[in-house]
Amino acid sequence: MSNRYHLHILVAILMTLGVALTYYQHTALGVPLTPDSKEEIWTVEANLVFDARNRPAKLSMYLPEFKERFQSLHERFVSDGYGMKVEQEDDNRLVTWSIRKPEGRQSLYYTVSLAKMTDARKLKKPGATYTQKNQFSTPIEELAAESLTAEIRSKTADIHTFVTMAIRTLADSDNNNAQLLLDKAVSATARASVLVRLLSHAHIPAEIIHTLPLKQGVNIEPKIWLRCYNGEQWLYFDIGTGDEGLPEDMLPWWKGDGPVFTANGVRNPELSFSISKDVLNSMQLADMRLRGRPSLFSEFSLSGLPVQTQIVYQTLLTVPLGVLVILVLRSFVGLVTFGTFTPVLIALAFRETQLLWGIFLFTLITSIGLLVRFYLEQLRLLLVPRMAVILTVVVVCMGVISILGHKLGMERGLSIALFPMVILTMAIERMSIIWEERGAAEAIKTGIGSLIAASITYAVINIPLFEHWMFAFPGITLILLALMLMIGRYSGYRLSELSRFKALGK
Amino acid sequence: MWSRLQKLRRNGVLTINNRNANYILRYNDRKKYPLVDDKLKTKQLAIEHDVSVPGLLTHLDSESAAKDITKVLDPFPDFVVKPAQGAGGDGILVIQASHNGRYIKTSGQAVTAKEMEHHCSNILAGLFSLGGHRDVILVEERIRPSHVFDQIAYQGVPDVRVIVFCGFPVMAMLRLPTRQSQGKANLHQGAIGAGLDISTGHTLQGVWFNEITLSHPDTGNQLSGLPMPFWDDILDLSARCYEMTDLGYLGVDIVIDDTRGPLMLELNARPGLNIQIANQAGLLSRLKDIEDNFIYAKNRKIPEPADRIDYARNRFAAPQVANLETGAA
Repeated sequence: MSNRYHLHILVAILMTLGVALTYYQHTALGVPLTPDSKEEIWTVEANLVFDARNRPAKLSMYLPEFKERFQSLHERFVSDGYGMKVEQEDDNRLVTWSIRKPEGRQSLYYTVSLAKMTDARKLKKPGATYTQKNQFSTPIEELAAESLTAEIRSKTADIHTFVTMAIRTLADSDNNNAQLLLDKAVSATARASVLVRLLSHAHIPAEIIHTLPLKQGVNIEPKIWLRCYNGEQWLYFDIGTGDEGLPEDMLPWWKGDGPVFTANGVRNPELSFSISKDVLNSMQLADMRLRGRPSLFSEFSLSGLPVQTQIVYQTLLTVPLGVLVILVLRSFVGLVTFGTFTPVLIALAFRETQLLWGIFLFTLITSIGLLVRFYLEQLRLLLVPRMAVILTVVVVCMGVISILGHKLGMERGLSIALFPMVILTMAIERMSIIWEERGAAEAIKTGIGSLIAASITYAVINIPLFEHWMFAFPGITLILLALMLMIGRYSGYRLSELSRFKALGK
Repeated sequence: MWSRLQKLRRNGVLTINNRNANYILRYNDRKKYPLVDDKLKTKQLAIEHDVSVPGLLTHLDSESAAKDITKVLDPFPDFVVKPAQGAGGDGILVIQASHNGRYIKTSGQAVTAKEMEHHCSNILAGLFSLGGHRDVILVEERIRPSHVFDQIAYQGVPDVRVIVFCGFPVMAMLRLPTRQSQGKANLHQGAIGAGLDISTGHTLQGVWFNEITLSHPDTGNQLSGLPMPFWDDILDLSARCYEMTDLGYLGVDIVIDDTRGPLMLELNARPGLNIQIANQAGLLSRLKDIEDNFIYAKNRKIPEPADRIDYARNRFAAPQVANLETGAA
């Protein structure tokens, strides 16, 4: 009895481990459940060009921070000959390039590939603190702000409506207070900065944020957004319309009212953004994400192997699945086949030849082999030499079929080389013995049984979804292991026994 | 389909998965398998335990000996050549006479000396052995079958298969060669199995390729109602094979020689399940009976052979026996 519990516990452990591992991979690491789910990946390129004046030059540029919404997969700086450092400056990340004696037209590049963050990886933003730094400078402005605040507050209920109303009021050209505050502010940045000061006056933490719309093209212009902290999260507002909410495809780049770059000691500096979009297989994307974040999984993952080896494992890992199919066919259905796992190997060969060709070629080779075997019977050879002869004949046959197939323009004929010839030889030998001892009917029945088993196995392991699962989720193999253990103690009826014992079912 | 499953369950039919998982794996110690898989070992063991077996004329275990097989066989007018580790009756050659350097099989076909040499080298190379290992050739005395079965046997030698569970003979059948089985008493090759009433040793109906049959397909004679000669001896022989091998789930094959009486031919650690069809009874219910009353009983003790036979004869009598006898009368 303890044996029984032992098995149950083992099965439970393997199941739990398998499911947990798969769940973790899917949710936390973003490994997709389907092989062909595609995800968008953006490549943003910032190109800073300027004319050098043959004297020390120093250029700094704000860089995007990937703390929410998006995740950087790969960042690259192209700046040969320049000293470069990346540092944190207040709220922004800043890159500074410097050089002693540049000459002529210079070009600096920053490229970043990014993708949307998976849900589980959205980090909690540290809360903003209200600072007194954004103040109006003159008493008149203070007064105008005071009365504007009072006016807006009387018409609104909460932060959301207050900010929206503030943006619209400030845009109202008939509002004297608003016009007074906007006095010298012409550019969008200046207007936004007035807005920030107004909101600060109303004790609402606010800041300007420059975003880049993610659409394919060159010379993409950054757009200004306003964001306010409501105590829990940042609320984004369109500075033109006052509408709340940042569209999904807006990449926050830098904060504050400063320009995106500053350049000292150069002429005609210009910055342009260009964006391209790629659609990437989710599997590749999950890989790239992993690489950006070293973990036990990325270190010990099959996708870390060389591509050639990966392809081998993609095939090899379907073998446990095929074996499970055979297990079910034998334990529950009661199919008779040559050798226990011969059909799995034939099914693997079918993957290359396709099903119909595979069945045709298998039948052809086995028939030729059997004819040779029957002929050899007359020569009375010893067992091992006879097997060697058949094996050689099988190889020669395969070669001939490949050549004929090629000449006739049937390229499928070439794929026969992938048949497991040793397995074929064994099948031929076994079949001929069954043929002699039990008759042709029994031999053909077993042969057909093997082909059916191989075809079913092929149909199962060739489903791209399963192939993907087996490769991407090692946990699935543990689940299969648990299933096999369970089948190992199955002592019930086989389908074939229902007909075998029908005389007893009265 | 579902209703048939229910009926099979109710009749206590033992299935392959159940036999393998709960009987063979549980009661048959793998270490003991060579005792039954190697017929040479079985024979030596049987002689030690005073279990009657067909006499061993000689055995050969080298390729060179196979070359001279005709010389080795020369002194014997009739004999049986078999692989020591053969399965399912494969590779067995029964020679009833040798004549002008040719060997005559029981079917009347002749085997040339060359063919005999080739057959022997195949045996030695392991063609018929379970794992394809090198094997040994046994040359045995040929059984002279008792004439009691002449009516219902076609060529070959009929034999009795008894399933012995922990020493209890739980079920038995008489296996009759047919034209299709080419004189072999193997059900897979087309031999007929006729159920045997454990209590009386009378034949019941037969099974041929999973189907019930009431008469022999070649002779047309009725199968049921024949008394099995030496029934007490057969039960005794098979029951004692348990002590001999220590295997809990065993198939014992017994032949009846015209002069020597019942002889144990071979043992099988994985006996087939068609015996249930021949007996129109499920094995599982009988095995459970033994398990409940002896194996899982408080004082687990397996009784002596004679007591086991008495228990089985009382317990596992075929229900139709009364009908058959009145029908015969």
